[in-house]
Amino acid sequence: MMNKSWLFSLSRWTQSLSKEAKCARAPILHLSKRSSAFKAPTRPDLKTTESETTYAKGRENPMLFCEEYIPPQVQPDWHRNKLKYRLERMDCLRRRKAFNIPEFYPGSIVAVTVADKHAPGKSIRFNGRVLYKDGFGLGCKFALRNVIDGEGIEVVYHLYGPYIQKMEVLHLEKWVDTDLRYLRDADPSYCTIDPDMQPKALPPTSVELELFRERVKLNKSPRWQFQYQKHWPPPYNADFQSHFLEDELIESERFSAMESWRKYDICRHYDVTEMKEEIVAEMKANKSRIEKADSTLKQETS
Amino acid sequence: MEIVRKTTLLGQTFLKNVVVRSFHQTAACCLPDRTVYDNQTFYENVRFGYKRGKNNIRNMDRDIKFLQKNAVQLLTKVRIVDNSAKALAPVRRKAKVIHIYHGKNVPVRGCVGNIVKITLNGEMIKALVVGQKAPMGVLKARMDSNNVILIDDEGNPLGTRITVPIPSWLRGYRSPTKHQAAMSKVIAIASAFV
Repeated sequence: MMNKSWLFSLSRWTQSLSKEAKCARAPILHLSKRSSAFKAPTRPDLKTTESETTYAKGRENPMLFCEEYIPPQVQPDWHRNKLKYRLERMDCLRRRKAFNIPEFYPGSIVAVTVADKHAPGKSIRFNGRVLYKDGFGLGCKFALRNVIDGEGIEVVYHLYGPYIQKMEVLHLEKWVDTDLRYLRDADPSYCTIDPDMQPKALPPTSVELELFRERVKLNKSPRWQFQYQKHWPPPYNADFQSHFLEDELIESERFSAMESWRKYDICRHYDVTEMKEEIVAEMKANKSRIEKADSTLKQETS
Repeated sequence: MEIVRKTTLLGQTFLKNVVVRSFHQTAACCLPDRTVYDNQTFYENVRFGYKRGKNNIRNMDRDIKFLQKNAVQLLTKVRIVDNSAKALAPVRRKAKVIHIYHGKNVPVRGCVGNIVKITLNGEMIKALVVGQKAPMGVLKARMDSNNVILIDDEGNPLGTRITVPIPSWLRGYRSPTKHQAAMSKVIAIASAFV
């Protein structure tokens, strides 16, 4: 008897649950019936002539391969979610189809206009030299540095950020180093860029870019941001030894001799060549996938 | 690179004392540090990877929330970016922070938008932090120095101009103090926004 009553109450409870679920579903159905003036905006599609353009040795077609498509290096026994990497690469391609993200490297001068609700024109523009470009996929970030009124200013942006309205490459340059944060300790003339700078003519993609091989003299200061003489690999474009005394020179030489074995430590190398071929093949497949999905979406909406 | 050895003695003595550490020693003893400058360089499709870790400087995102609120503390040297008479007067010592207001839970730390008390030529003045050296994350400008403008007790600025650009998000900033009305006066005298 006791068991039966317990079952009965349970069944009643489940019935009430299902009633509640129906009630919760009802307003959603009601909403879908209601007519509204809203029309979904059409997805913008950039027209590109990919078949005509050819890419020189050091330059890549961003639709097929980019540096941020490579996942970060981790310990070999760690778990890596490869599905997440693939999905993120797909989203990158989606963004690149809708918005023109130009090709630039650390060292080139870029101007970015960003949506800003506090600004009178609802947008704000900032230009500067690119210090670094780092991160995987949609989390890729780059930093701009400019010296305005004698004050060094740095701003970090997401490369695939939806808040970016316009990106312009004012001067395309490629340095040997990929991390130029030592410019904080260098002469400010390297990063003083006129806010109204006119863009220089970009070299076509079929021309190979020459690397910037000059050396930037760092300030004579005991307190740098980082101790460049004690870290390996040392920056190439930074001449941090120009003000050194004899003892300091010997010390830095000793350090480089001590750490030079790292060059031959293959475990720490990150070989990208195999991965690159896979990614290129994957991105070609992604392209057709996106087109298919878009066509099905259009049919459903119409 | 050429080294001119003036004193041969020094060089000889030093080179004798070189300690060559073995692999496990360098790997274990040199723990990753925030001060490490991790420069990625490329050698023909091979790059030296960076490792994800708590202290790796290339993955500082998780630390930024902590860093951005703790930009200014007691005795931090600040730069006065203002054209008031006190700021333009010859400086005997660098201005330093003595006190930070409206820090209820963290009384000794501050950041952009906070009001601090500083010493200037043996005088105690209130000031508003307008730029900071610590990173503030994406879309927020990071300056090379901790910038400050002088204000009076009611929060009104003493000067008539701010000489350097100030962060744009300060226009939408609501200060926890009673000086919210005075904040608009500060924004009105700014020369540029970043």
